[in-house]
Amino acid sequence: MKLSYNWLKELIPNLSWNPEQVAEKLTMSGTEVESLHPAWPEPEGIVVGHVKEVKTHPEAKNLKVCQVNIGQKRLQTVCGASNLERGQRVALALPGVKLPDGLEMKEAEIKGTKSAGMICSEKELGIGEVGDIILVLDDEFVAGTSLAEALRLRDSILELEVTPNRPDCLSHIGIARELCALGGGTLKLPETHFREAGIETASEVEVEIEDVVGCPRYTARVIKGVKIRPSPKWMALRLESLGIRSISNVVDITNWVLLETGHPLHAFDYDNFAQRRVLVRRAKPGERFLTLDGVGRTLSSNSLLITDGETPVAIAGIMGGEKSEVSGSTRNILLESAYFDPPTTRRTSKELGLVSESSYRFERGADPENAVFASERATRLIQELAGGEVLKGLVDCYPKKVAFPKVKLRPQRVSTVVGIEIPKEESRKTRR
Amino acid sequence: MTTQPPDLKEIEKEAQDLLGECDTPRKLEEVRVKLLGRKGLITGVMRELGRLPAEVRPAVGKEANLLRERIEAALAEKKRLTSEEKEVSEPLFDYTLPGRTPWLGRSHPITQTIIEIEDIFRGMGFEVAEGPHIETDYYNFDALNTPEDHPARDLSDTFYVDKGILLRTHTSPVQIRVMEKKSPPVRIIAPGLCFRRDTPDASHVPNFFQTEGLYVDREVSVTDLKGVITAFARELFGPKIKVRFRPHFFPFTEPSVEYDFSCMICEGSGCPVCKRTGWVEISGAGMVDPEVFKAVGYDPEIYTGYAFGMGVDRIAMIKYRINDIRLLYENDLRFLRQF
Repeated sequence: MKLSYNWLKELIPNLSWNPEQVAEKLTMSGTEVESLHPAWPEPEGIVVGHVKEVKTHPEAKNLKVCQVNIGQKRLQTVCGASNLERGQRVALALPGVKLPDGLEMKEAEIKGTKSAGMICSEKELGIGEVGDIILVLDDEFVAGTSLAEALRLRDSILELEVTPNRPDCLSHIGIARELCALGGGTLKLPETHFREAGIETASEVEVEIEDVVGCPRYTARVIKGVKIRPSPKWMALRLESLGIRSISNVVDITNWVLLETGHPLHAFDYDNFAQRRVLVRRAKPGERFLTLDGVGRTLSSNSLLITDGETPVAIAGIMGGEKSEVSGSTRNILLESAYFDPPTTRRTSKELGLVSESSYRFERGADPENAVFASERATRLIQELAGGEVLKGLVDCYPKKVAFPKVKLRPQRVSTVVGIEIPKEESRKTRR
Repeated sequence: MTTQPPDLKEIEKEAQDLLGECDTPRKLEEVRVKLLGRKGLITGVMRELGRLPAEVRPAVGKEANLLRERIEAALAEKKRLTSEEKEVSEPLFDYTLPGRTPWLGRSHPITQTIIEIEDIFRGMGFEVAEGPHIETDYYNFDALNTPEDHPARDLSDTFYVDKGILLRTHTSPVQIRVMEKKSPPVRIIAPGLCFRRDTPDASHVPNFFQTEGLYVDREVSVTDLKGVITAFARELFGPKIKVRFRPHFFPFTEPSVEYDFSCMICEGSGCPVCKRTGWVEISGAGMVDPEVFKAVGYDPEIYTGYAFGMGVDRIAMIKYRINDIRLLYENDLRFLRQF
């Protein structure tokens, strides 16, 4: 599993360890850090530029001559990108800078017009695949700021080997909790506040669980009138640095919350539900379902399905369906935050040969008590980044609370097994 | 200009005389050069042919060719005779030559390593135990607290022979087989082959050697485990070696650790072998899980124990500074003769 050091730092504001120290502490506490590397290339001398003026080049009509404000001064630069417009914030490589692909910036004359530096594409900056148009930044960025700072590119990625007995470590909050237990600082959970409005969620969706063994808990929220668009750059970049492709704001938020809390979520396009209800049931033997990766799958009665009462919309805890997938035209969302039992998830995942970030966590064991927090966190982010009206209340179908085993610790037994006497006080402090 | 045709008869006589004197291969070669060499008698005749008048040329040429063939035949006959004479005249066998030492086989470096490991542990009171390569699900997984649905079964990709029958993925099944037959105290090591579905590369092969260790008695503790592993490391690699234990997870031990030896190649300062960490991972260990004791009918309230594994190949690689595990299994004599 990949972790962002910056993200850990946001969760533990008083974290005093640098990335190398974090790696060492985690390795020596049982979660081996296999590698530690920078998230992105961090070229110096690339700054946020504010395009003040765009004129057609006197000698070439497909080139533009721009005046770009970079804080203290203005530079004149010639650019051929089709999407360049006045007023944009762009990434400008200053003269003398070497881009990740080895290209060196020089002051030059292009067809008789002076040009200093270059307005860059994602690809030229080494942070994405788009190479034919320039990267346009959010308007809030201040001209002259370094790009690495504006886009929070300076980050370290830790690759961890999480042992199967520690599913609680499969998230940033999980590892942050671990670091706090090791004395690294104090955990600060992310913001979950949002506004509710309109009608009661319960009058908009009814949840029924037929198989309470496979699905002990299912919570749902409905958010109406969201605007699906690309995620902000900071979110897309962080997800991509952790190996998850950015798709759209709402889909990215479910992935973000999964990496943050360790709890898998799913967002459905609610307008594709035939009925206003969720029914969790076993698949009929041989039942067919088209998952959102475009593959038609044949299920056995081992598989658990999320349905709209009749038609399946997802294979529980593993993958959603193509038909109910959130798309550019989605307006109303049903947000699922559930708990699926590990053996059921594991059997289905094995049968179908289908492993996802979600199935990986459910089959190792998610936390049923984490479902509500994860749902609230995602709702908060959806309202912040996609707008929309969050209906009142959470529909929480949790017929029988999952019992947590009590662990008895016998000090005498500890001494026998460990071979040294551990004072009561020290033992208590460690378990805190 | 015309030339007299050569006196072929005279030349043949001269050649016969020369041949008659040959009695060794060396002399024969000298004669061959005199007759047929670049400046030889016969060669000279052939060369002269071109200068003869056209009307005599065919007749003389034919004679000359016949002469050359006769001489060549005579030379060949003589050569056969002289070489036969040589063989007969030289001794067949020199009884005074020293005899050739037959090349001795030797133990494979892995065998040498296993013998060394066994010697060290015997010295600490361990017995050597063995188990079958073909195992059942029960001994390889279930009895070791790794049920069907357990995610730990993901840790190893297994070669199945048939349903429920497999090539053992570790030497740990020997623990179960020994404990089923014997009451505590148990103190064994079990070296042997293990199998996993790995694609061969510099550090993986689909069959490899492990050594299992197990000690069960009253009041066996983590300190005993650390002690025995450290003593083993010092015995094998010398007193300067350091050992470190990191918490880990195995289904059949609790608590579990992985243990590393300080890198013997760079002595901890960082090199490619230890990936610049100064430590080389050896294997896993831990305190036997009470569930494992229950499977073999030991009372976990009375007995505790430790178990450890170690990669024999890895130890051999460090000991002999071998950088590619595949070398150990290719059995190239040029490689094996070095040990």
